[in-house]
Amino acid sequence: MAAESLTLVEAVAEAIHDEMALDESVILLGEDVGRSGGVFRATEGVYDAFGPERVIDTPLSETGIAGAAIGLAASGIRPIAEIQFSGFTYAGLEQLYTRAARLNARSRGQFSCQMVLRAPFGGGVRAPDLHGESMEAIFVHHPGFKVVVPSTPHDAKGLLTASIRDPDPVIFLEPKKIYRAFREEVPEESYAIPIGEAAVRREGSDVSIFTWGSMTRPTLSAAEAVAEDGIDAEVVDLRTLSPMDRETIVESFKKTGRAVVVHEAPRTGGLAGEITALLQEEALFYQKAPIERVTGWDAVYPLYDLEDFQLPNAARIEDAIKAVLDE
Amino acid sequence: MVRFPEEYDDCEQIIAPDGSYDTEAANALELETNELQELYGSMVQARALEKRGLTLQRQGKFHFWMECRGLEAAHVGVAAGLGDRDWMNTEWRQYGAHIQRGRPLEDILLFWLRGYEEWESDTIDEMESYERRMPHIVAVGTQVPQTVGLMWGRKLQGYDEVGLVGVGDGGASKGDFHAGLNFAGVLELPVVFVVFNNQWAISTPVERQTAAETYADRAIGYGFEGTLVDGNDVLAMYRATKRAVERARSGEPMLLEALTYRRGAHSSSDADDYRDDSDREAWRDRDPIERYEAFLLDQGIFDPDDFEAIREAADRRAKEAAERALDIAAEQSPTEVFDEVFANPPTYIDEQREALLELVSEHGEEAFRW
Ligand SMILES: Cc1ncc(C[n+]2csc(CCOP(=O)(O)OP(=O)(O)O)c2C)c(N)n1
Ligand SMILES: [Mg+2]
Repeated sequence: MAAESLTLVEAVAEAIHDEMALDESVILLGEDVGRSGGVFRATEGVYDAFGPERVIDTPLSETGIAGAAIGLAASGIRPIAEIQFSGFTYAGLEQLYTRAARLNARSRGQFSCQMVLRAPFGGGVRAPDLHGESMEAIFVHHPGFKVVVPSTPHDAKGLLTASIRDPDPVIFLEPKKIYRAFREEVPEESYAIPIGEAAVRREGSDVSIFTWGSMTRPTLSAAEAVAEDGIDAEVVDLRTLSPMDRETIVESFKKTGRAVVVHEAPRTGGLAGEITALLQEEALFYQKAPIERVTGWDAVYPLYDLEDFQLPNAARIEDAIKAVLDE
Repeated sequence: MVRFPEEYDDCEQIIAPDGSYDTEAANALELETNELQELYGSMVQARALEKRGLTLQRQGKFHFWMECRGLEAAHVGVAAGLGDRDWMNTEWRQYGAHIQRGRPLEDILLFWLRGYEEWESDTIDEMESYERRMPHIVAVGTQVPQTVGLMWGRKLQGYDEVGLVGVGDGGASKGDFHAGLNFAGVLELPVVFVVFNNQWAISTPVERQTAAETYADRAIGYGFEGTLVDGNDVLAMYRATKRAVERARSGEPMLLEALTYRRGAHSSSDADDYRDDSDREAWRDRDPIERYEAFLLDQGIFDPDDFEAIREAADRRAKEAAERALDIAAEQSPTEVFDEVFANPPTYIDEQREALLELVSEHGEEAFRW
């Protein structure tokens, strides 16, 4: 099996390229996705390979991009729509909420909304306002969407491939902090990683840590650090947030009886609350200590140097692990 | 201030409010007698359906009704201008447009009873013309860029089809309107945009939506043409739409403004106590059905007895369709709540469906009704 060493952002471009080569109903639209290859180069080379009919630089309008993608999906095309930064998805939310997530239900399956909306997501690149948002919870909350967040190049390619093939609207959130943070061996041929399956990144028996996206790396570092103190932490990368892999989450917790949930998004109303509730419902009697949440603060996303204090880091995660083990 | 077509120099019209008409223009339409009759039948049927819908709403059998009185010519006219393979996306009160395309009446009514829609044909290829639509939108204006995407996709797949999308004078204030027209202009897509300017958005008059004299003028900002049409003249609406559809088929979108007036309330929940009766009276004198009757009489296509018979048949059909729709809606099962929420549903949907079923069997369906 031939493999190549790719960054996460290169893996995104490769998945798009491969699916467009395999299925001519797949097209790409968004702001600056064409000749320039996108502001993060996530669509590099795609325009050269498939030309202006299938790779379209649209006018600057997220309402237009989202609305057109919905109509394209209804027509039988498989659009991949890029929103330049996830914070600008706000401008297209009406289209997504009132239509993309409902088209299949309101037409009783006549028109599915097979589209992918990709957006660079999360903080950590010292960009201006609205460039650091973590808004996964708002999509998870609305029935009808699937929400996917890869944390490695290998997963980015396989999950994006699966997202493009999935018949439901998929919100594909790309952790831009780690777009180029590291390389990984990625199979050259096309492959799909099933939506809805978490990955256990580190097996352990003392505590389960649930996380996703760019938080996976500091979480793994924290797990290694506490290993020196004899704590055996399990790290579960959820990968798909809707539908969540409830089974893997619950099984891991039954094994360890302790949990920490780590996410960048603000604490109140964040998915850590959902995961905690799930554990209460499904595994209360396995619980040995209160569940800890390590999250972004309930702040309007702080910018530039202040970002350092907003994003959970390995130190905070270590503290939380120790806290649940101290009980 | 209420607007009238005759205040504009360039408002397209074939039949004047008094029933006199431009013979040359009418002949140039080359409509067969049966086609002219059909336009009448659709308008009358829309009005009959409304009468029935409102009655049932007052009896508590329907939840809600959006009113269409006075708008029938605009709705029927645009549908008549479309080809069989073309698409039509509307908001919710455009009953006449769907009737003209042959949509079964109970299917129209079922939208108000169940909130979702169903299609007979499995695939787009098999769809009858009345099925060539996306489900109704409720967030006004959102249908505009969606229709643009739809026709972009059909064009990419090699189909020679045009899409017509209707939006209200209120909905046209939204960003979706701008986004949609702008995309269509830039991408040269086969879309006809129709602003149904009925001069009211619930209680907000058109001069609170726009400081411009017309909506048609906006087209210039998107690089294509717009035209203002007397929305109560079914022949003028037909002609303008047909022309726009032909133009759109060659890749040039077009904007139509149908200037009309919503004589009914906004909906069955609207007290309609915010406007002058004199406006309504003035527009009643411009009734689209009566105006067309004058034309049909003069042309010898129908005589007054025919009108009566057509109205009676329309009432009967509306009544029967409502009965069928109510019967169909009565068949709903509680677990339909979960139907088609996802095309590829996660397992927890099954768990929730099971949970609801169990609750219903334990407590009985009555315990849930309120
Ligand atoms: C986005 C959105 N905002 C508000 C409403 C509530 N609403 C329903 S109809 C309506 C007025 C629409 O007026 P117009 O666009 O002129 O269409 P008309 O009702 O006259 O057909 C409003 C405000 C809605 N359905 N969608
Ligand atoms: Mg209106």
